[in-house]
Amino acid sequence: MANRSIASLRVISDPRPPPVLPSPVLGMLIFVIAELMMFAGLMSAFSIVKAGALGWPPPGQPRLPIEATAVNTAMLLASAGALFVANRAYAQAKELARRPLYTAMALGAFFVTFQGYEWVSLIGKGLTLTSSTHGSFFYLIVGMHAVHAVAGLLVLGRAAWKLSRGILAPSSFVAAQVFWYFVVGLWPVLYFMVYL
Amino acid sequence: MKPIMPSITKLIGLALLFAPRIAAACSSCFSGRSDETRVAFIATTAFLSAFPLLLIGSLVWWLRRRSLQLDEISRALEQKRAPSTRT
Repeated sequence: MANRSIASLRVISDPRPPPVLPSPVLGMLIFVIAELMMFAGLMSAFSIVKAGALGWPPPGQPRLPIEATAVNTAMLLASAGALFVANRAYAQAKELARRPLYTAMALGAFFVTFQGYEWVSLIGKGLTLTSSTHGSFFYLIVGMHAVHAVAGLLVLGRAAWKLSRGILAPSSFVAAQVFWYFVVGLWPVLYFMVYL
Repeated sequence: MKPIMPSITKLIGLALLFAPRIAAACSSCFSGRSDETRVAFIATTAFLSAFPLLLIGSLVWWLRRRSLQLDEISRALEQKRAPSTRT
């Protein structure tokens, strides 16, 4: 008991200044920088192959569904908007953040599901990982983003679970948001490069 | 018994001297036959060189800025507290 009170006194009179950035947020930012470099490498390789090709997409290969994916892109951007609302609501009262957070997750899940549907139809039309460099790069880049989107949904799901139990730390929530904003912010760049 | 490996290495080295070829190590110079590819090589090389520096630089700059902001806030708080402790 005495030990516990001494420990609490130490915490109260801790002379150290508060951290400039909470550790979960800093760790997530460093991770996002590393992931951005990976995508930068993929996009560089793609642009070199695209520049060297006689025509893009190569003849005989199916065209990518530009319009449908544009709608899907809007859904993903809307999920970022919902997450922004969730963050503002969290600052007011933690319970208020629940609904916009679930909305963000639902929109993100829609994006991933729609992409899966798109992939199935493209495979049916003959665009596979081995059909051409177009197919290889499409599935590699878009697939890598989809993996990150699924990971982002898991991170948001963990935050939502913690929020429902009332144990969500603000720094953990910010770290989850950083990752989701990375997933959302990267997609328009990939869409512009790969689809258009 | 003499080791065989060094003499084989020397032989391979000598053989290479008699078979000179252009060392196509620079992808920007030799792989890109068309102008478009060469431009893409150069642009992506510049991008990949600058991008990590930009990312890490931005993070360090932002952390420094935030640190200075926090210092200012804590200084202001100390100044506010100081007169009240005297009285």
